[in-house]
Amino acid sequence: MEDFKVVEQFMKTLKTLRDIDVDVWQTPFDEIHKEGIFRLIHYKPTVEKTLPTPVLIVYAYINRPYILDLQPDRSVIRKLLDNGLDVYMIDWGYPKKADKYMTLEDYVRYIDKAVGIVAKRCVKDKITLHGYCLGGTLSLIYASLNPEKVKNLVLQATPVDFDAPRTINLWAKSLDVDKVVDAMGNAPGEFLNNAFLLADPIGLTFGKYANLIREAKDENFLKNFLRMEKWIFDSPDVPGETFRQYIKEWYQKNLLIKNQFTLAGRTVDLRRINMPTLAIIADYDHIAPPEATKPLFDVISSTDKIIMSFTTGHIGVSVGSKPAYGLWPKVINWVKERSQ
Amino acid sequence: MSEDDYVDGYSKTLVDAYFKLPRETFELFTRSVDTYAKLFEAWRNSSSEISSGKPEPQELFKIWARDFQSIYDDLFEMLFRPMKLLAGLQWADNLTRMGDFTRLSWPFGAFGSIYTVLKPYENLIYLFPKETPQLLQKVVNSYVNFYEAWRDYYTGLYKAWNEATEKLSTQFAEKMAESQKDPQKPLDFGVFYDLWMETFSKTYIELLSLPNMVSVQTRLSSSTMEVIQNWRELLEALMSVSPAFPFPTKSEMDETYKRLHGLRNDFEEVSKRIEEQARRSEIDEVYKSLQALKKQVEGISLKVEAQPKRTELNEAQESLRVLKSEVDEINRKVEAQRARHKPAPKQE
Repeated sequence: MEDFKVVEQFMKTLKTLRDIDVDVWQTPFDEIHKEGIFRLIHYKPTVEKTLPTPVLIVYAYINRPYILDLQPDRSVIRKLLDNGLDVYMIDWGYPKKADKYMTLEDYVRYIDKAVGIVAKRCVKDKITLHGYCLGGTLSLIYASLNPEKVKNLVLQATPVDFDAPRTINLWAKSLDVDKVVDAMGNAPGEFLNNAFLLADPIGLTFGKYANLIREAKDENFLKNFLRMEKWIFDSPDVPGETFRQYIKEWYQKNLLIKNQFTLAGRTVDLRRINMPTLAIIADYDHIAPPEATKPLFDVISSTDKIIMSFTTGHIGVSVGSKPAYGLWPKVINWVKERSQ
Repeated sequence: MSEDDYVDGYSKTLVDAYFKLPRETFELFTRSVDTYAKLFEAWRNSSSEISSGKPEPQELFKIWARDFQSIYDDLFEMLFRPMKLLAGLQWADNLTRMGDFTRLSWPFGAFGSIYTVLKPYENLIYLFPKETPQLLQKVVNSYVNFYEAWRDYYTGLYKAWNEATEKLSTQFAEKMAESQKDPQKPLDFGVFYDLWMETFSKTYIELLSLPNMVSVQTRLSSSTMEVIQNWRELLEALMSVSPAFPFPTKSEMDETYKRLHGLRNDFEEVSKRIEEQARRSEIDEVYKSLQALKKQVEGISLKVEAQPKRTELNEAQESLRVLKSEVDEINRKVEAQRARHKPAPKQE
């Protein structure tokens, strides 16, 4: 009897899933600059008069940035826009084989280019830089090298101290990255995805899906489930030389928090971070756990600095229901107060 | 609805969903249904033991260890596949169903693929480059390392599976004893499922962060990469003695990618210098020609990414060489203009 119910429920759910058209990138935008695989987009404002200081969002290069605009009712982008912020975002695209020699220097250089374009469009000297995950790490590096161009720094689920004893860190520390890059060229998105799934193989490859069979889910739930699935498995490859560099120098040598990381011959000294800084951390984050971000606040020179933590995971910060009501209004207020 | 109609509808839904859903989602969801049904089957098979009210953990373990076996194979299949794919061993999937010995020894089957690749060349053996035996030896060695790492990794995961099953049997028997005190709350499949999830999930999260397991995993990923790398070196050596082979080697492609990247960086540097010039209008023409060259580079990049033949790659490399000299020339012009407008040093 139960066998029959399982198959029935499976078919019912599969039919619904099959009939759903998955849409992501909810908010309209214009592409205002493109260079190779990188592009800079500008979200169409939803208010008549935006605040003077624009926000540039820098997402990680290991996933796609539309996680911040995944569902219409929980879009972080939409919240920022509706609160009068002028929002730009860098999309790192999908690296191809020919991009294997791109390094972190190329990424940070494009941030500089994007900051220049945004500042010029808004007739401002400084902007608010909002980095997410490894995009936060890139933003931190950029802000440290160019503090005069960053008015406010927002770091969302950003790892800085890579010695935090978490499974992903342990794996990255022990990985023979030279062998991966020499053999594969780029680090395949599938390779990285498998690592994330292996962090909880039973829960992430079975439990999550079994829940769809155990109890009937409504179409809206399934639509959001599919949006998330699309995002999870839409993982770009990471350019080989970038992979080699960040795994070795960030994860294995932990140079960043020690102020020993160098980029294009310049030492990234986090003490040069002197602008207002907000760190958003998630208590259950297994990729950038709180202890990977908190030590930063002992190093930077900013006097106006605050940590906002929330009881959720790495992705839940952006798409969870609780942060939508509890966390983001506070974050947005903090940015707005410093955007005049 | 007739049974045939039902089956047709079932098949159609599966096929449609296969094409519509992300392929990983489709696979994990369909596998999970199978796993869930197997868990229910295992629960049902233990019902006589459970209905006794005082199940023996050892008896539960016996039933569940047998019934959970096929769940293990299904659960880890998707995670193992990339390693098999990377090493060109996806055909080994067929072997994994043939019992423990075969499952553990399938990488040895990979030697068959070495033979398959070399077979067409056997009459040309006198043409093989002199380093072929050493390169072949490296391939064989890397397969041996890969096999050893795989065996250790598989054993580690499998041992944990048995430990989790044992733990589940004990915990469930304890829960059963506890439930006897409250007959209003009989233990059903839901309780069993939740306990299974909790026990197995926790076991694997902990296992995969243990230092010895991390070390085995590192060996496995490294040896997988060695297999790929050593295979490539062998094939490139074989291709090098066959000028008629139309496709460039990975090393030749890498060299082109490197030049492309270098040239893109040169463009950025020169563009930035021009943009910083005080008298920009004087070199506007130069800037325009730089942008035109940049477009050409992107065109070459597209060709290079589209699996070019060796002759096409050679042409692309030649074009990149010419473009490089043109960018250098533009850079010289920009520098000269900068020097002309450099403020004269103040007189004492």
